[in-house]
Amino acid sequence: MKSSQYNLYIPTPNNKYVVYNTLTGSLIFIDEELKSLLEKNQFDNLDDAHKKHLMENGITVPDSIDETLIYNYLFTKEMYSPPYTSVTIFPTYACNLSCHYCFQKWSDTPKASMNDTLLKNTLEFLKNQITEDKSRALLLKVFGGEPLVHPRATEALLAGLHQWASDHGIEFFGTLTTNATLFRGELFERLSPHVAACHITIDGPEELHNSIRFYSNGEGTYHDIMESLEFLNKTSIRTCIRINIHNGDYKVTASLLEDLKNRGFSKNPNFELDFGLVTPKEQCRLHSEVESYIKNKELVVASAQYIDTMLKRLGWENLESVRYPDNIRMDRPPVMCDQTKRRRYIIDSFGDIYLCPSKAGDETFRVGRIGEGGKAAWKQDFYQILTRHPLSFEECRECPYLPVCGGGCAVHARETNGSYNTSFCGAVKHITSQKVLSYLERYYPEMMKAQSQ
Amino acid sequence: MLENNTLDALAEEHSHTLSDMGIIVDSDLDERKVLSFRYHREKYSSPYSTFVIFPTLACNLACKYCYERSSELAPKTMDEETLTNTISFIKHMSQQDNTKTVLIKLYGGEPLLNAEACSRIVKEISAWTQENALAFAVVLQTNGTLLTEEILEELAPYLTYVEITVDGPQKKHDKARIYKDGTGTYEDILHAVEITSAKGILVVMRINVEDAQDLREILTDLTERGLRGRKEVQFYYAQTSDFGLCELFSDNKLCQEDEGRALDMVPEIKETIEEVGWMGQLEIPDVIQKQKFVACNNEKKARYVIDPFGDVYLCFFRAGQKEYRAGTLKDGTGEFGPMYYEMLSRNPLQFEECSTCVYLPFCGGGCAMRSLEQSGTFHTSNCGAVKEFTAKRILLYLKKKYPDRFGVI
Repeated sequence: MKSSQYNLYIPTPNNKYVVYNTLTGSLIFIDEELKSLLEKNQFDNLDDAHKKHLMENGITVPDSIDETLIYNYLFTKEMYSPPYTSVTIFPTYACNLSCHYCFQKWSDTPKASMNDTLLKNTLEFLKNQITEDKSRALLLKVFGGEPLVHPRATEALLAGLHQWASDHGIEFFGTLTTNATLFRGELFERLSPHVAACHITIDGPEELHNSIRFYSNGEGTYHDIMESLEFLNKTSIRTCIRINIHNGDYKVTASLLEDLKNRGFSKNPNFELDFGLVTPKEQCRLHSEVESYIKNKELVVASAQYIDTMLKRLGWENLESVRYPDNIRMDRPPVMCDQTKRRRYIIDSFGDIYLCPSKAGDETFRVGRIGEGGKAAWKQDFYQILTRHPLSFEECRECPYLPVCGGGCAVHARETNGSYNTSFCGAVKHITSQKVLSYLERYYPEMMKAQSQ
Repeated sequence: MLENNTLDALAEEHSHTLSDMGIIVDSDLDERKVLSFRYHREKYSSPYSTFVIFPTLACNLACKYCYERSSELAPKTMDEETLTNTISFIKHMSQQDNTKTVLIKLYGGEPLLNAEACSRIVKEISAWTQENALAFAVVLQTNGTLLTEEILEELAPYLTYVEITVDGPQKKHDKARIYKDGTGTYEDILHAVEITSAKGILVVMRINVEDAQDLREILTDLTERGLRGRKEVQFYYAQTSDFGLCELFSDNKLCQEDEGRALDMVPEIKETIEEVGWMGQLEIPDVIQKQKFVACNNEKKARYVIDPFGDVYLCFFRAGQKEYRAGTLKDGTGEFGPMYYEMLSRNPLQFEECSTCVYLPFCGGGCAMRSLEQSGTFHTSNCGAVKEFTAKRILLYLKKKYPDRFGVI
């Protein structure tokens, strides 16, 4: 047997180590001596029980195994046969709000909406594509702009594809990313049978939120959003509440959470919490600011502890549905961007096809376009992204982080190096250990302590 | 003009047609990337999973040419534990592979020597696929001699089709496909075809022939038995080869000659089938063959061959030969070894000789098992006869389809 090439040895605060295998996700506490044996590949003096334990967890592997081939298998499987088709669609770029930090707030972007011809072509395209992809399930994410300022298209997509999928024995999950100001009344009644989940953002307690998310007449949206959440609280729709934390001010976030708790939302198992850090320089310019990019990611991981403390102090009941930013268990290897795979389509209001939602609208990142009768014309970019393989990058081939990185973001790679077919390490080497330690502190505090004795 | 890339002078309608057909492509398109995409899509996302099961390696016949004769000495039959593990493995992997259809092939040895295992597998998997809203198909590959009314009654609700081989006209068949005491099996096999198809179960007959005359004799006999026009009886033919499995993997020249002879036979065989009125029951891909990016169906994800020892293989010719196993059943799942990952990582676009080869989209790098046999690794090409016969196949196809263009009246 030999040590896995995907072992990371992370020092714990008490002079011991945890070995984290990035390919299997195993975590094992070890001492200096075992670490040294693993690094030197010396196992003669280990007893059989230890050897078996290490082998079962993938910390050691048989000599005959080339782990890069296992990685290759897992990566290619994930890339080429994700179990469902995921479609992100922008029925419109228009929005009834204008939040200052919105990444879509390009001054020169026309606030286009899908016209009837394009809507028809898009539906044709998706039906053909899903049939060709032989998918068993369809995840339709309606995004924008604010999709509900174009309710006709939103309904045609959600209801139309729901019906079509049911007729073809395909499971359907519709989701709606909305600012929630229009998700009420008759529209709510019509759309909710087709919506399995929705995403709603809150920017803070009422006063702060209203200073950021307001209507064109200046009136705040907090009250209306709470009303929508009350409706959702009575349904089985899974609701992800995205809470933005501005400038690291957790105190104001706590008062928002308190309000949500008072409204009874902390007990709803269908309400999920997701936290985002908003700093004045959220949209970093990668070319010049890789450092601040990494710093940002570190801050995000660090926020897990504050969030956890805050929620526990408040007595938030449904901690199961909190998305902690250090949750390494959500990073099931092989980790890779969920968008740059087969069976992924992002379609904007112009009928352009993208593989990255944050690049929708930027034609230089377009990978295809929907034409007459739903026929798509694919660009070279589509094939470049779909054939991108980190094992063909020299720096990735031997890298122990590969299974939790996948060569990094293809779009950032192009932005940084001029080609999709390069790696982009981003912050993975900086934050992986941080995430592991933060995770262990939360779920195994005794083990972390016991080590120090 | 195409060879010299001097396309400026092309009329627009011509360049449109050529472009639509992919004969010319955009200058910035790297077709290797397109091929790579399609190759991996085909290899990694098959909508169905195939499980070729060997309930036993034993057989009640002693066919002279059988490549499995070697297993005669150790005719292992699946025991209870392996059977249970096999059933859990099928469920587990079908879920893992997100399959839409589970296809079981009962193979052997003679699978009906362990009819109990066959029955349990199809019953349990059938119920499980129904619970999980998956499609289910079963192919029984049998020599036919054990197909009794009783067994048919038991398996009928599950069988998609039964495949039965005939080795030439009766006098040739009865020399080749024989019981262990040397007597012929032709009558018994034909009886099986009759009772199975009479039950409404599709029988696909593989008819081995040396020439068109052999095929004429057999089909005439089948007509006399009232099987012509019976929709439950389909057939395909194969040319008898007089070499064994070892040569199949090791001797490229022999295989090529064989394929050449088979191709030469095609026009006469087709004529014969038409003359005796069996065209409607012929089930065979055309000579042009369907385009496949991956060389072999067994090189794809979601293909498993399970032998009676509980070992998992990728090539069914290798079942029972441990040095070729790709994995082992363990606690209801599978433990895969290097052979599995080596096969699934095979990528002809990485072989120098393939990466610029014009035949690649039609060939996929050739048989991986031959590569292993001849160069010690899956990661080399095995051209086989693709370069010799592709043009010939295309011409045969075109002559049949557009005879006027070849001056044939």
